[in-house]
Amino acid sequence: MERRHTHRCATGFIFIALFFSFIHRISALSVTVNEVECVYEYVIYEGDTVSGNFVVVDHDIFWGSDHPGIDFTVTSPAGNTVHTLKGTSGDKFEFKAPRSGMYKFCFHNSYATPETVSFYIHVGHIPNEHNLAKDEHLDPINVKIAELREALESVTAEQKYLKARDARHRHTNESTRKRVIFYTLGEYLLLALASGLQVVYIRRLFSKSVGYNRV
Amino acid sequence: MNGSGLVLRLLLLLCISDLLIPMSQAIWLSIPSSGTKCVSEEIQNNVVVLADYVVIPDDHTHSSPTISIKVTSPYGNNLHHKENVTHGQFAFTTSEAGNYLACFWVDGHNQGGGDVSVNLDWKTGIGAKDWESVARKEKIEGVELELRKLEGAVEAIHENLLYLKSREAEMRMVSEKTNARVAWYSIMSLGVCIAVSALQLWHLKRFFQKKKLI
Repeated sequence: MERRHTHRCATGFIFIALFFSFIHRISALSVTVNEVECVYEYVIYEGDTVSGNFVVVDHDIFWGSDHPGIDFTVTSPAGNTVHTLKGTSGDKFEFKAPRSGMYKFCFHNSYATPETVSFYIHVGHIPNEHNLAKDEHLDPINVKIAELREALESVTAEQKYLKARDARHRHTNESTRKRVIFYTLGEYLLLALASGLQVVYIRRLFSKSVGYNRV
Repeated sequence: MNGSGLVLRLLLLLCISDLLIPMSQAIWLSIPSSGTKCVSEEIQNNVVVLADYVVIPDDHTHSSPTISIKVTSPYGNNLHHKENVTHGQFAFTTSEAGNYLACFWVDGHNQGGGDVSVNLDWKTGIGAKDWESVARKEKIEGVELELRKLEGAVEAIHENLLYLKSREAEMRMVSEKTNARVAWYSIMSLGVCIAVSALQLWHLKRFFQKKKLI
């Protein structure tokens, strides 16, 4: 009876363990940055590689080339800045976490208009030789699998970056298409209007009330 | 009994080794005490989305502040709406491609008055796959399950690549069309200019002839 109970407990624990060993991947979320927008991510192990990318998806405000872009800062749990990127419309980043804890990823928008930023953050952990030596339950094959998983993650991250950039280009293209049609029609109308106004003006110059001898 | 006990112990060992490679992460958002905080994602059609959110209490003296959440589809359909909760989860399969929005706001029950931290775990596509049921159904575990997951990831990468390729082809088509349109409209604008000025000249000539000036 006791052994069966222990077995049932063990089986339950195994299923719970399996449940927690899902591959949880965070997808590329977008957030609207008014002035400052911060996202937090917890890094479990010191020495983990934190990688990711972000792309500004809004297109309307990148009118001129003198747009300041947005700034990106990563703050460690100790409070010091780990990584900064200034004045970009999208970039990739990667750094090694100096310690474990809650990291803050902030976007600063120095422009008046709010912008939508699509970002992706991934914390990758590979158990290294030191952990292997410490814990004899850890199989070397797990290290290899972890490396493989991280490599695939980097490919996925790159794809998310490309997808966000593609969305941005699509917006630009749509905007260009609409502008071409709108501006051309406007141009034709203005041309016709200007010419009509010219004709009306010349007619008035030659009208009887003014006296055509003056012209 | 001894044999099955050994198998169970081995299973436990594999699971522990599995747990030592953490794979689950979620982002934390801080919701201002007034106003809404929204996150969105552009998702294709027919993708499984699984998310769960938990309010993190700032200090342990107060009761957890409650939040409200609303998830909308790109066409405005309400997919999930909860008021005054501290945790919850939702899952849906996308029926249209577009921007899916999840908005959080704080109800009037926040005593602290500061920002509320919410832990959001948002998974789409392959990340939302239920590996536990796959492991149970096909009776695989440990290394084989890990390799299965990697295979799933590779398939997802392949699908994404094909999707990106089709999007790029679409965009190239739009660009080419816009390019052709710009050329055509410029020539037409020259034509309109010449036509309008010819009309002008003809009308003025008639006018002056009528006025007996020429």
